[in-house]
Amino acid sequence: MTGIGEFYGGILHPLLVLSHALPLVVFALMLGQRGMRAMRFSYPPYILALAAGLLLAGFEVQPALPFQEILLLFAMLCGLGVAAQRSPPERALAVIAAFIGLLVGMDSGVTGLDRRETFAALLGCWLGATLLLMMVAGVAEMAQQAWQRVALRIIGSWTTASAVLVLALLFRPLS
Amino acid sequence: MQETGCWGILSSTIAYKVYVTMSAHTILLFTLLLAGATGANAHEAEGIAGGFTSGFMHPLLGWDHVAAMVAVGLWGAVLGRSAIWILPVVFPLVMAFGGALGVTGIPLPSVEVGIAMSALVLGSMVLLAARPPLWIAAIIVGVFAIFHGHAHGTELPHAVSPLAFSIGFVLATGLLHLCGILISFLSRWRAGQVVVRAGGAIIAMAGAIFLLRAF
Repeated sequence: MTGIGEFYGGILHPLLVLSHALPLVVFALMLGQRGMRAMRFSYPPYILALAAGLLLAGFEVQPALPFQEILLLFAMLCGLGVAAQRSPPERALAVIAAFIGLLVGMDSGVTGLDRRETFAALLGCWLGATLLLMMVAGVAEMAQQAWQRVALRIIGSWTTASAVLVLALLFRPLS
Repeated sequence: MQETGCWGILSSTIAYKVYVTMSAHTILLFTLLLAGATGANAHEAEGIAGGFTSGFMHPLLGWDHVAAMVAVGLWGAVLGRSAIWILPVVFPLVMAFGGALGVTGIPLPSVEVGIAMSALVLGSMVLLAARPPLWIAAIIVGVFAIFHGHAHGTELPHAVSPLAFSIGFVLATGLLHLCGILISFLSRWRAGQVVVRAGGAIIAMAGAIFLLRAF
């Protein structure tokens, strides 16, 4: 992103890449819905895996994985869970957190920058993706009133709907 | 209502000073300038913004979609407490299924008829204050959601940013449901109940017109 600097561009990156923002937001909603214990279990693996993924991306180690498809699949499943107000056990959530962190990190590589700029962009991305997850999960955890819980479930169903449509587009047979 | 507090006094003072210092001609000139003003286009709607905007506007620009979505919200409120949230949760999920059919090019017969029928049937349900069991209501709404989803889904492959388009139209659909739910809050009062049912009648009539046009 030109004009705003690599570090700030990195912070905004997870917000502006919708295939990253969608799974992160809906997974954070699931964590918040589940409660403080799930958040405490899931943050450390997420933060570490995100850093590992970004390091791999920084060294241009990027396996040929369909990142967007996998992340949207996560978004769809997490959205269904949020809509149904059902979530896996805390340990499973921690594993999912690590997966999402790793995938988002590995898919956030930058090109055409020198070493210092690359480091700034990746550091910004790590900070942005970490803050996004924590802030959304924190807000969702605070939503305790009945209508607030309903609003979370509706957002979950919206997310699933968006993810299903784009997955259908990505997997549609070419005519 | 009487304004009190420092903000009230401050705003009144500013308003008075503006009033006494501006001549009638100045006010007229300002009014004319405002009338001729256009929106500032500092950022062109391209990429994510363009995709989101076109997706958001898609349900809003079709009267048939608007009428049916508002009717879903109204009916949800007529049905009672749990339906208020079950219908807005079920609708997008089933709509996505219809949308996936549209995206993958699987044809659905008489999509326009289905959309027109949705306004007619859902509007009639509100008019009659029909309260079937919740699962029947969910099935009725779900069937119509497939038609609406299909119509949106066929547009998706042409969008600048398909993901932003899908988020935009799902959000707009949800907000239209919310409009219906908010209107239905009027039914706390006796006169409000008449207004809500009249809203259902208008939607049903609009649905009948859409249906005539669809044939």
